[in-house]
Amino acid sequence: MAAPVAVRHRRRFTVLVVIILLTLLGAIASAMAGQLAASGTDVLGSFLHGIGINTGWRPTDELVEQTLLQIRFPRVAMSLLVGASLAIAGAVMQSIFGNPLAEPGVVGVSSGAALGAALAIAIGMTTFGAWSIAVMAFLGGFLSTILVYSTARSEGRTEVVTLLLTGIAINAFAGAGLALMMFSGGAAAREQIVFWQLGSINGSRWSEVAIVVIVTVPAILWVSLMARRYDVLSLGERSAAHLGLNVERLRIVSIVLVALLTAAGVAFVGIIAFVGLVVPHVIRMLLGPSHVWLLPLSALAGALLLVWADLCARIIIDGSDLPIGLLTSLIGGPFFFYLVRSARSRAGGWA
Amino acid sequence: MSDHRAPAYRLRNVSCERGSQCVLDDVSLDVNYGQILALVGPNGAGKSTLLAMMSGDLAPSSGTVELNGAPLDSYSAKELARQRSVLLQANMVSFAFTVHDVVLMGRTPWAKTSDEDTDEWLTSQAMQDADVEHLASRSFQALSGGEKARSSLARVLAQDTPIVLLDEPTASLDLRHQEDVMVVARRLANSGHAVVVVLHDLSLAGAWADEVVILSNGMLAHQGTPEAVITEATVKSVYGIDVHVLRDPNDRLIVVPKRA
Repeated sequence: MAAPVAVRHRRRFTVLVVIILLTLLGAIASAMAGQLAASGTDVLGSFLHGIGINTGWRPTDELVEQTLLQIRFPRVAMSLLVGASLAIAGAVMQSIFGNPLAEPGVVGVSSGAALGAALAIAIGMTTFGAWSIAVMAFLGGFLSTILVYSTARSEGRTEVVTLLLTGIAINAFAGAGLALMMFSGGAAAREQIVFWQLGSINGSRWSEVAIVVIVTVPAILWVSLMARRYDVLSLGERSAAHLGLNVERLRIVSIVLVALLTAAGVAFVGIIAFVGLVVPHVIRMLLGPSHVWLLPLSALAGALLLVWADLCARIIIDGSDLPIGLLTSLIGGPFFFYLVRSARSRAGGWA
Repeated sequence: MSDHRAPAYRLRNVSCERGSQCVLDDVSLDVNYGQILALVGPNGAGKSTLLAMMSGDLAPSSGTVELNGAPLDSYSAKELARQRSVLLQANMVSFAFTVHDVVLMGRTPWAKTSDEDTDEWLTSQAMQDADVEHLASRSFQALSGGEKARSSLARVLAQDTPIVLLDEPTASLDLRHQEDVMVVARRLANSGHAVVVVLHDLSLAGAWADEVVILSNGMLAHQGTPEAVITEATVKSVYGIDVHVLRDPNDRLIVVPKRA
């Protein structure tokens, strides 16, 4: 089997390089786009200046440089981070529930986190300082994950139909909660919640990016280190346990990490659904199911997807900034539909 | 490895209640190295439950289970995985892993203790024994029931443990592969492994097992050599059916129902 292995390696390498190049390209294009035009060299020059290297590319116009450093760069960074977090969170969820349809948005983790965050916005909470919204989003996401997990499991097994039904219930409940926050909140809070609920990376600040980095980067690394265990888990709980895997611990650690990864994104950019569904699925089609490659490449491809989606959200309609959550759901919804249809006809899709 | 003077398993007065129902009732049993022990009995007699007790999936509600002379629950998941491998009745894989990937996962308990060459060698050996080499690059999900069962058996063999627990390994297999599985089990036992196998086919049990245990309603009804245990009288009393117990030309037992 020497040839296929070599082919596989080359394929992985190609996919990796293509994703990285497209991501960089998207990041630069995204930083260039906007009312104030910036050239590619402006972007690179400002970036290098930002990390302490001064080059001839540094923009001569102070306004351009400040726009890039203070507005565009944090926005690009946020889209990369949130995309990576959501995609890898989706891949992990699919693994622990043994089903390609599990996703933070579908299962209700995103809306649980959204409810927590909305509560913090509505009551103007400052208990945890700059972290308040993030902490509440995490609590909401964590509680809903626990709820789904405990409801969907009976006698050590995860019933996937129950899982999805629980997701529906949580989404409905969190939706009602969000509506209540909007109904009872002041006009300012109401507007903030509405925009934020639609999902937008607009207006990301470095202080927010810093929080997201601190939460998601360690979580992404931790999850990636458990890749082999997720592989074994695909044999089913009992067989995985027979191979020495501590299934219960793996699941609990995974749930906490999924809640962290989802909440970090949701807290600052709102609900962006289906990234965790689409990205791992495409990576699996390209490279096979092994989590050793699936997890890190899903993170990269999630970053790729969101940086381009954010760019599209800004340039599709001239002069207006579409909510990115709307865009991803527009693509992700039909894709989910397609997955449900193909899973239904395949053995093992539901069970 | 393990202390071979102690039996692989020693079960004493093991009972298991699920809900209000008693699925195992006061079972005492030794499983020895170097032997095939066949567990037989009607549907719902408690065979799989007994196997789940041995594999550590279920804890008995009363009684004790010892592995190599030490309480089963004193082993960590990983230590257990290096002592016993388990083939379940139903085997599924969530994502489109190839058969080779799946069999290689059988090496998981030995991660960092064996090198990659050993893993590859044992994996290909196991695939040869289970006759799934030709399926190596196929997706496990796309296989037939029998091919899945054989691939899972290969995964269990790759785990390379002194104790092998097989729950109906022959259930979905054709005649040839049924025999192949029992030949593999025989070879394992001859090289010192303890093999526990749940079977429905009394002729297979009679032909291949060193010791047969008949379970009935959660109780150990009969235990002994195939000749001693598989008789027209015991089959009648446990299964409620009249059978002929015959001998093939090599003097192995054959069990067939009496038909009008």
